[in-house]
This record gives sequence, structure tokens and C-alpha cells, in this order.
Amino acid sequence: MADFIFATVQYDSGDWDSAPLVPANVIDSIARYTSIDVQPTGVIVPLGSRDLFRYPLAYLTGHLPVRFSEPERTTLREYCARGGLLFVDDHNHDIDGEFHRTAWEEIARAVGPLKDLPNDHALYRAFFEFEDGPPTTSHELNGWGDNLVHKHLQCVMNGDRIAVLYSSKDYSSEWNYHPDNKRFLSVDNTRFSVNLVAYALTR
Amino acid sequence: MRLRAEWAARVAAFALLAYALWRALAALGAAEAPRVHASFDAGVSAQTRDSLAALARSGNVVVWSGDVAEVAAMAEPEREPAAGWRLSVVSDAAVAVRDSLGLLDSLSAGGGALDAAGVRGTFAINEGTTTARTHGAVEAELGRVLVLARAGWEAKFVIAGLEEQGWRVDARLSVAPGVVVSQGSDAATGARAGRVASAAPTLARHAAVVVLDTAVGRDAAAIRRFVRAGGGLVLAGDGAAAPSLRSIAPARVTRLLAPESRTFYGPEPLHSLPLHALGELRENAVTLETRDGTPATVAWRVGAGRVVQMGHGETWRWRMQGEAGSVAQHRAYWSGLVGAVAAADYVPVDSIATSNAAPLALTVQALGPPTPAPDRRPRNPNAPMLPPWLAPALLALLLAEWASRRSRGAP
Repeated sequence: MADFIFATVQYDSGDWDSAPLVPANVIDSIARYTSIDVQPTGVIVPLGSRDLFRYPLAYLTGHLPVRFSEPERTTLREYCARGGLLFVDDHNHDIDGEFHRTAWEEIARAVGPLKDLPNDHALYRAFFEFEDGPPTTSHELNGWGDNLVHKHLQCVMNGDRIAVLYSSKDYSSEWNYHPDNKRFLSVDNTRFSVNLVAYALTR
Repeated sequence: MRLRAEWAARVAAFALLAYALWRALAALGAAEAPRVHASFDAGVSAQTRDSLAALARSGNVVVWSGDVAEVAAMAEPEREPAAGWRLSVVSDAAVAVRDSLGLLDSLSAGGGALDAAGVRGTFAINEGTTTARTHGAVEAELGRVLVLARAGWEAKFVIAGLEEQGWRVDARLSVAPGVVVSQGSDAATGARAGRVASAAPTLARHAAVVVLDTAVGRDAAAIRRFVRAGGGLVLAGDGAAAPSLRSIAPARVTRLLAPESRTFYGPEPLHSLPLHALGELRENAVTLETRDGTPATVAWRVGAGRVVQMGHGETWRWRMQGEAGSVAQHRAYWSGLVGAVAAADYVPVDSIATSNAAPLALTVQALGPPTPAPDRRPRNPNAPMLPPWLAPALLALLLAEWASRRSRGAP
């Protein structure tokens, strides 16, 4: 069995499958840049299922309001306590939108309140160096002022490890394309996903 | 007749003088008899024993008697962070073990050993009226642990478990060819945490190395030297088959066994993991754990160090997918593996004031063997040395002899 399997979280409310090309793109980057033994295809895992514990890094996104069921909250709480890392990305291009507000509420209810992750955190040098913190995207705020409005990613910590990583950067749009099209980019915009996976696998 | 009476008076006077001399000599002899006799029927404390020993060394004669139980205890620090103490007790009857907060445990006749963490004050081991007291004479100073692996869930959760158990962990995790992610102290890795080019590790500050991958590469020579010099090595999972460390491994990986099930519920959660079965054990190797008769964990000594080889793979699944409590079990399991081989520096601590670890042995050492209690009552030191009638009687005899002699005109 491969060391790393990319898992997308399926939750009862909202549109959990709004970025279907992200898994393939991230897997391509992991295989392209690292020697991590990665499974060629990702999996979809229900948030309320104990199968979630088979994937210590999981990705959750969507546009619509998020309301976790009680089993989903319980599972997420235990998942983070055991050492799992949930990466949540707001797929909207807005500020303080519905997904953002409801996801923050649900994460706070299930795991704990989100707070800013310092831009010199080990996550930003886990593989590639991101000296200014999280890379900006061309989608969030249509590429204008993202770094001014969203200066940080947010997190819930479990000790000194990240348990929940929250992004308003809309990486779900940024990375949601076929991996073959990377050849048209001067700089691969999925490099930060390599840092995320490398951090999760080492810390 | 009169002369005979005078001779009788002289003889009687000399007899009384001889008696007085004998009594005086007897009294002088009695001065060398015990001056201090201690009775330890209610037990003996270290302070009392030390006080009597001081009396004895200052020229007094000190003897003791009493029923001091044959009990002795020794506390040794566990070689794991915050793991507490291992108390070993030898006794001729059942004992109760307490600390300053209350009862910890009890041991049957003959004694035994118990592990205790969070002990307040000293251990007090009660057998009847005798209380042995001890705390560790040394404290273990544990160095750091270095984890060498490729980036993966097993490495992540081994590091997490060890850190959560109190170990200070450095890690060098291979992410890409020629690139490792380092964690921990700068001294250990020669670089700040984060991605660095791979370089041989410095092991001077480490108590143990954990190898989770077969590709140890150029670190192997340094690890072999480290172990022979007294360091500890854990070869686990894929690392159990590391070819470059085969010369110091206690066994060889013979085959890979599939998990017996994929559920981690039940008494043997480790059976739900793949196993690198071990075989071809070295002559002095000790099997610590088996699965269905197949060695799963084996240990042996190499030079001044120790190596444990553990075949279970993907133990992170036990932590993530196991039943409630599996996180703590996973931590304790890995901490135990590392603690079994880790080199420790033992630092003496002051235990003189409170240690009474073996009351009978220490009392015999300080005061000699017990002496039966004397039958007679002790002599009153204020009593006169000679009987009160002796002097008047002697005086009367001498006066009578003198008066008789003078009355008959003799000189």
C-alpha cells in the first residue's frame, strides 16, 4: 500500500465535490517533485465514517454553507485528537462568504477556534520555500489584493502540530485543472500543495 | 584467749578490706558493660540509628535488640521520560508500599518489583512495625532520539508518539532524492528545522537512533560506531531489514506476513499490522515478542550498546484506527522500545537524609548484631560502691583490737 493517499472529504451538507481535479493535480505534483510513495488516484471518504482515520491528511472544500452532522463533528474531533490534519479551503472568491462563516463555526464547534498561522511556520519551508507565507492565487478576489485581505492561513493546533488548516485563498480553484496543463505555467502554482503534504507526512 | 580474740579481730579487719577491694574492682569491671541499650520493638528510623552510631563512635558502648523486619528496597529510574521509578523489594513477609500521599501497592512475601510514576516524596515500605524508606539514589538523564526515515505516516506518528511521551526528538526524513526534512535541535542536524540537503548526523547528544527505512545510506557507519560506544538502536518496520545495519541486527527479516485482520479491536491490535517476520537469531539474541510463534521483536547487545529489532509495520494505523486508548498505547509502546535501548547517564542525587532502604542490614552495619536484652535491672549509677555497714564494722574491729591491746599494756 502506498505511503500517501490523497483523501477528499465528503460531508452531508454543501458541495463537497466542487473541485474534482484538485486530487489528480496534487498527486501529480507529489510524484513530480518528491520521492514520496503516492497512490496514483485519490479517494473520497465520508467525514462521519471511521474510514477517515485511514487517511491522516484530508482535504475539504466547497462553495455552500457547511453544517456538520453530530457524527461528523464527533469523527472530526477524534480525528484531530489522534493526529490527523484536515485541510479546509474556501472555494469562493469572496470575503466573509457563506462557506467561510459556516465553516469557521463548525470547525470551532468540532475542534476549536481558528487562529492565524504565522507566515514563518515550518509549513512554508517543508519542501519549497515560501518566505512570505501562503502563496497568493489568481482566483481569490480575481487576483487583486488577496495578499492584503488574506495575509495568513488559519489553523487549530494540536500541541505544536496543525490539526486543522484553513485557507481563504481558494486553492481549490487555483489547483483545479488537469495536470497536463502545468506545462503552460511559468511557475507551478501547485507547489504549495507539496509543502502541505510534506508537512503532514513529517510533522 | 585475749590474744586469740585480737588475732581474730585483725583477720576479720583484713577480710573486710579484701572484700572492699574486690567490690571496688568489680565496680570498675562493671563500668565496661553496655552503657546504652536501644530497643527497636517499634521499628528503627534512620535518624535514630545514625544517632546511636554517632554515640558508639564517640566511645560509648551501644547495643540494640528488637524485632526489625528483614526488608530491603531499591528504586531505580525508568529509562523513559516521565516514566517514574521501578521499585524492587525483598522481604520475608507481605509489605505495603506507600508514598506521602497514600498506598501505592502491596507485594507478597518474598518481594517483587513495581513501576510507579508520579511518586510524591519517598517510597515507604511497611512490614509490621518496620518501615523501609527509599528514593532513587540516581536520576537518569536521557539524551535525544534521532529518527531516520522516509517521509510517511509511520515516521510522523512515531515522532509524535515519542514527543508526546516526553522524548526530545530529532528527525531526518527523506522527501526527495538528496533532500531531507530535518527537525529538532540544530546541534543534532547542523541545520535549522526545515528542508536541508542530506548530511551525516552527529550523534554525540543522542541516547538512541530509530531507523524506519531500509535506505540508511552513509549514516550506517556512524550508527554502528554509536551503538558499539553505548548508544541504542531501534530497527523497526522497513528499517528492520536495513541491509547496511545487518551486521549489528540481532536477527534477519525472513518474510513479510500480511495482517491477520484490518480491525484494531481486540486483545492483539498489533496482529492487524503487517509483520516483517524475524528469524536466524544471533546466539545471544533475546526474543521479546512473538506473533503465532514467529519472533516479532528481538534484542541483543552490541559492544556497549543495545539493539532492538521490531518487525511490525505501519504502527500508525494502530494509533489512528485503534479503539479508545490506542493513542496512549501507541505512545507507550514506542517509548518502551526506545527506553529499552536508550543510553542514560545516571546522576547521583542526595538521599542520605531520608534513606532507610534496608533497616535491619543498615542497623547491623552501624551497631553490630542485635544483643539480647539484659535480665537484671540496670545498676543505679548513684548507688554506693561499698555496702554502708562495711566501714563501721571495720572501724569497730580495729578499735576493739587496739583497745584490747592497750588495756593489757601491749604497744
